[in-house]
Amino acid sequence: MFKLLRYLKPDAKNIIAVVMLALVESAASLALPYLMSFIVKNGINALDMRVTLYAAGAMVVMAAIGLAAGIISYKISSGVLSRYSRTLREAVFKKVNTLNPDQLNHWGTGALVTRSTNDIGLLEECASFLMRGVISIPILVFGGGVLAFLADPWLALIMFTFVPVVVAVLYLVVRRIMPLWEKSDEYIDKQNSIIRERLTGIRVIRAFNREDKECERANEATRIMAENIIKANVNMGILTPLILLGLNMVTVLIVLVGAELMQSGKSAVTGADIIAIVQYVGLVMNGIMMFAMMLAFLPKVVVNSRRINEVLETEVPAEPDDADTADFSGGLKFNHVNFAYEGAAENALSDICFEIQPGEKVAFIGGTGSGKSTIVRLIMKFFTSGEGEISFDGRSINDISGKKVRDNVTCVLQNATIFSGTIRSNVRMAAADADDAAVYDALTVAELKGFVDNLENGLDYEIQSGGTNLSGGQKQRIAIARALLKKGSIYLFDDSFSALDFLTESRIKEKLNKKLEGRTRIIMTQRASTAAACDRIFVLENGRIAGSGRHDDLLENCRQYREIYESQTGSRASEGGVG
Amino acid sequence: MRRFRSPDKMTGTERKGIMKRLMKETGRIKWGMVWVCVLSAVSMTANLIAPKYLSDILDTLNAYNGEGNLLSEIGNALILLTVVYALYSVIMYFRMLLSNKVVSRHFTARLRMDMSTKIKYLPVSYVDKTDAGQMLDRMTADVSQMGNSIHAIIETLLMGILQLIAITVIIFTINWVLALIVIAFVPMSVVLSYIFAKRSEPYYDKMFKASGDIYQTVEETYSGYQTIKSYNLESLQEQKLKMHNDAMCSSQTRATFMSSMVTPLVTFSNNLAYVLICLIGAYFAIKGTSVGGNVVSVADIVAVVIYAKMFSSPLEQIANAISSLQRVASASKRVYEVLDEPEMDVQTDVMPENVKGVVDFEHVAFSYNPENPLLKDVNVHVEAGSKVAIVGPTGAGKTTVVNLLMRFYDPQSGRILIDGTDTKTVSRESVRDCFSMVLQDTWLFGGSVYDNIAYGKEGVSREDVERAAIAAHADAFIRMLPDGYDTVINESVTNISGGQKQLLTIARAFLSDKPLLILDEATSSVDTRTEVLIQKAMDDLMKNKTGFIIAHRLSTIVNADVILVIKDGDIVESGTHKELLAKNGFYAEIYNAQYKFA
Ligand SMILES: Nc1ncnc2c1ncn2[C@@H]1O[C@H](COP(=O)(O)OP(=O)(O)OP(=O)(O)O)[C@@H](O)[C@H]1O
Ligand SMILES: Nc1ncnc2c1ncn2[C@@H]1O[C@H](COP(=O)(O)OP(=O)(O)OP(=O)(O)O)[C@@H](O)[C@H]1O
Ligand SMILES: [Mg+2]
Repeated sequence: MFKLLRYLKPDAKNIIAVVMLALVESAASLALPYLMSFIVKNGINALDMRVTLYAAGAMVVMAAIGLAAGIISYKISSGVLSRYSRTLREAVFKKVNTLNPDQLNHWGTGALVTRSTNDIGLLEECASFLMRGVISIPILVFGGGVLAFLADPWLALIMFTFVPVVVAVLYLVVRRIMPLWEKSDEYIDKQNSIIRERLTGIRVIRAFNREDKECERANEATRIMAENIIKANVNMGILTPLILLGLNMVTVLIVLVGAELMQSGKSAVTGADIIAIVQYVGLVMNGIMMFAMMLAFLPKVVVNSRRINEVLETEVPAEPDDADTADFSGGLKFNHVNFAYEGAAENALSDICFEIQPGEKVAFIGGTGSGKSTIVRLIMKFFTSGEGEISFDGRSINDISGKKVRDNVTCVLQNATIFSGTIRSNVRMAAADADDAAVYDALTVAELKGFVDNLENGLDYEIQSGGTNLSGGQKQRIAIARALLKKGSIYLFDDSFSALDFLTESRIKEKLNKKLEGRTRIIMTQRASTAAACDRIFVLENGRIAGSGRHDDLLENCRQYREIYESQTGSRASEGGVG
Repeated sequence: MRRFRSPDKMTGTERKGIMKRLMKETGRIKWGMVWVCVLSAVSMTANLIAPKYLSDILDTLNAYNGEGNLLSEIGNALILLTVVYALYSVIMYFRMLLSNKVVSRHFTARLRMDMSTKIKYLPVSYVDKTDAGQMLDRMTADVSQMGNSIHAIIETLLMGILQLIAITVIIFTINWVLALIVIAFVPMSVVLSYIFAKRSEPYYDKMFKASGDIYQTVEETYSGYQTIKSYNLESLQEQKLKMHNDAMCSSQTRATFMSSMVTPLVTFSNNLAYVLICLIGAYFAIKGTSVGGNVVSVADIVAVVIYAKMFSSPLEQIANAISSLQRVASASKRVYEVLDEPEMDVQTDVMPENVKGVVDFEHVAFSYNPENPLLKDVNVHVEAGSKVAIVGPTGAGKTTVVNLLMRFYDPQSGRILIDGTDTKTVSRESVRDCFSMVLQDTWLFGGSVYDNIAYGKEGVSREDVERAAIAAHADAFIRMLPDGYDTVINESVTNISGGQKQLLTIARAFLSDKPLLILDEATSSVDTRTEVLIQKAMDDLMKNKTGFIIAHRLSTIVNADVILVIKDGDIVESGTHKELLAKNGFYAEIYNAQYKFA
């Protein structure tokens, strides 16, 4: 929990200022009763109106000082708190951006989103409460305590017999609350995940008429969350009445013992002393009450900071320093690479060996789950392989940072991810400085120019989040256009034409050939026609390379390739179609 | 004060509407509130009585001169005091219990459930437009804000007002002139806090908006992880976050500052009252003036001053409640925006039983937005049990036809009939109940493979699920997964391959087994050897079913009974594979494109 305090450091000066100002404020407010008794003594009793006026003037000044100090301290503290949560949010966000896919999936997107937003908000709420308490509590408890001791140490001691009771109650309550907050947070995550699923999967959910069930599930999560929050709050709320009761009993006890002492004459305590002590007990009481309330917030703070800290403290392997590494020329080599996903029983890739020359255009063809996307993920350095070596231009990928790799390798992923924004913003994500001419150029290659021209807003067409107002093929082509605006010497296409009709596909590929002439291209595909147009084809089967070569060679030598080919042309042969 | 000029204001009537709504909303916790009121009144009485008993006891102690039995003198009073204290704590506990349950369970949780339930009644078009992050922000942060405010209002406003009244009465009995002074300052506090609260509102507005934007950015970045990484867009997204984060920070700083101003201001105005009482009281005392027939004594002044001091805490509570009320308007607006979205029309009629599967499109015209007409005049008749293939270039409107068939969207004009029933006249649920479907966007949820397949039908057995998986040729790969059918697919659905995802959705559709079948690019990422095998299973499955198949790989559709070629929203050609090839038109062109080997 204290680890998150380090983010307050830049504001240390401001925090000190807030404390000082709070001291001034309380001093000013303490001066008022003092001046008031001064008026009674030297003004009213002495029948002196002038003294009264002066004293009243002084009171106004004090009140004004209190006001000024209050306003300034709030001004500063509201800034400190807002900046604190801003810093935390930024830190968590940046951290998540460095995680690898396994780490990301360890929590899941939903939980990470909550940690970056909700949890920080809650933490800030508590922090603002704590900040106020931290200042006044010591003043109240120490001031009151010392004054009480000065009046009569023995009676004052009674007050402190109560401290262990407070501690015990607090301990019990805190212990009970902790798991409740944990549970409620868990169900916030759950509620949010379900709602997210309901929004993104609306069609499937409705198609199967599952909406009532899903809604019920979400509501159930909400209910459990609410029950836990209520339980936690109720447990927390027990503190105030309980401690108040205890402290009130202390007052009664002091009066009782005091009266006993006075009556028996065992001590020189006077009625005035007892009155004084009772008032000081009031002060200390206030302090302890606030302290207890603060501690009651503690479990929430602990749970939330733990959730945030877990993310912040995730170890991310250090990236090699490669500032002076030259840009890639396009050569790529896999040398006996094996790879297994975490938790998987079998290798996703086994003994993969190939070498691609700069400027070559190769295809990987292979069945579902044969490992094509896995090769892409390894090339992109999303994962690092345990065995074997991957190298660019003879330099091992392990000596190059992920960022550098991805600067040089451009990839169109199997899933076209579209962000909310406009067509322009989506296409030039990787090239912020690209002008509209460049964007149009990329769109032309991706065969989208016609579509955009027909739109009323053209490039400013608003895309809804997830690209829901685009057709499947349009999404895929936006992803292709996006890749074209990114520089790189190696281009990867992972099943990037699957949603396109063959006519469009062949037009795009023709233009791509021109546009990317001389760069290394690696195309993962299911379509034999696509593979046939490449310099070399690798056939993947169950994570192994089953054959490689040119289309004609493979037709002759590779059973798997022949099967694939026949599965795509067989019907035509039987139809005796046109050709 | 120029800096406090509001950036953009909610109109007066708008706010009034929202507050009225909120009041009505709190109506559901009416009885809880009444109880909280009663308990508040009781505990406040105890709070005012206790000091009286205590001061009586202390007076006795002070007057003790060493004679008589002091303990028996104060004994009764002390016991009474103990009882009052105990009572006070007990009531306080119950009040807290009640207000917590009332607010959290019946207000906050209810609102969240209302929002979640609302999604059920929203049209697909609205959900398509909605960003999940924005929605979630409203459901969590904004509702929390509303709950906190309501909590503060019922906890403190009531208590504050009650206390204020009681103290006023007491001061009046002591000295009415001084009492008037104290009271004169009350409106000042209220007005001051109102002014500042009002000024803070637009900043709260901005803050809530920024909070939604932050949620959206975070959500989008985390779920677009692979793309973000591939393009080294981390810093771009970080900049985006920074922009919203900065907006959040600055609006939050102002909003919280302005609403926290209330405390020092109220204290100050109360202090002014305090000074004035001292001054005027002193003047009375020195001049020996009498008020209400009594000469003003020093003791009177001291008493009034003490009570005036007691004013400050309830006043502050009231002021804070006022400022809460303003904040709650901004948050409520965002929540009510969702709750007020127009809902889909509801049909109570249902499709007749035993649907055979005759489908007709009669003069169907549809567009997502009026400026871009998409389908202009579609007329199709499909016999029961036939296989219809829909082909066409990307963006032609194929998926749109599915959207219309399933009633995700309704056509602007024309009718779609199933077995002669206009689907618009029967409930959406009953229409969808006729279809098994695989959509172009594969959608799986974070859950086990088994649950994902079983999603297609309720109350299925393990064997049914496995049979469907075998038919979809998914069984083999599922068995290779670490936990077989119980393997959990992660939330971002990245731990199975693209083609495997499609196989699972196909298995899901096979399992659901309805009279009509829709396959929209169901096998686009599945390899062609597997596809051929699935095709056979599909042919078996489709016997006696009407099927709509959309595919770019034409090998899957050559056997269709009728092929509809859609281009730019019109059906440009239709017929069997052979007929269309013979026509040597657009179909022939796309068909031949796939056999172009370089
Ligand atoms: N929700 C929507 N709002 C606005 N426009 C939409 C929406 N959904 C689709 N469109 C537009 O309607 C047109 C037809 O889209 P549709 O998804 O029907 O195409 P499609 O034929 O299925 O294409 P593909 O083969 O690429 O999947 C496209 O231009 C698309 O941009
Ligand atoms: N994150 C992961 N964790 C565990 N297993 C995985 C993960 N990602 C993929 N796999 C498994 O690894 C194998 C290879 O997957 P990959 O995505 O590389 O296939 P692919 O050749 O791209 O298939 P497709 O053509 O269907 O996209 C599959 O069996 C898949 O289930
Ligand atoms: Mg893949």
